[in-house]
Amino acid sequence: MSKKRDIRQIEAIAKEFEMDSDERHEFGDYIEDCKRRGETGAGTAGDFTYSELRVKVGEFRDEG
Amino acid sequence: METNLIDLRRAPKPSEGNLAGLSAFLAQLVGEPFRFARVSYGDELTLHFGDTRPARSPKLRHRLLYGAYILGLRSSPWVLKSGAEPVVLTTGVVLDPAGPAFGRPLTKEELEKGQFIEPEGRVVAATPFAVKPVEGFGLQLRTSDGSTLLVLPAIQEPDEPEDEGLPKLADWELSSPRGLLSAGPGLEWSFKPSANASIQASSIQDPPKT
Repeated sequence: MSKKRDIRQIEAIAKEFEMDSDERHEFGDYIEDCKRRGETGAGTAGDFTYSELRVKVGEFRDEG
Repeated sequence: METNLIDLRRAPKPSEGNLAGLSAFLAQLVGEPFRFARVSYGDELTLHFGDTRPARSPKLRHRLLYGAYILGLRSSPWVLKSGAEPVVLTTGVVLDPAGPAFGRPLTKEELEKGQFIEPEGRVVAATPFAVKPVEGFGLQLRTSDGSTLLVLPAIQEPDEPEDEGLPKLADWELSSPRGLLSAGPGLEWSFKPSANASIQASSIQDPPKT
């Protein structure tokens, strides 16, 4: 079963950063890609916390 | 033979239990070719259909493609009966709770590379249905290669303290050039037009019978 909290966190980030559905899909894929490349967050089982996801938005949008 | 017209420029009115309106929105997926499956963050299965485009993000632009239509299964249970191979995939669904466990776990990479739905297989039916015990909308999708996908609404559970303030999740959603269709939670659905889609937000009228 998929991890509902992770998806809900992506939804919350999308709302906060005013992402449309295309960008939200891409952001979710970007975070998944980070995980598959071995990056881990401070959350359960290496998941990213909400504050870590907020930081990731800047990285994803290539804002520095 | 009677011909029926579904006007996608006129947004069917979302309302509780409005299955006909939900069906009308799903009509746009029929005929679109399946492209690929991708597992996103949170282990969400996404199925991509229609023309493909490169990612908009500079981080993904040269690596990932996206279908014009993306069916997101969120955290809902699903069953896929492949038309390409004699296999059935399940997530969150136990086909025979009383029987012995069978099957084997599939990795995300296997799921993505498996081609359990034949690429280019066309959607021939996208049918929503109400699931009364959990009060939510399910979805059945059939493709021309003989595959059938069944998505069931997730059982709603109370939030844990860490989940407070997080948005509720739809049971499944369809992202399209016209906008985002979301089904659930509960027997409700909504449609958010995309910024560049010109959709009249008015209720659909039954086409005249001829």
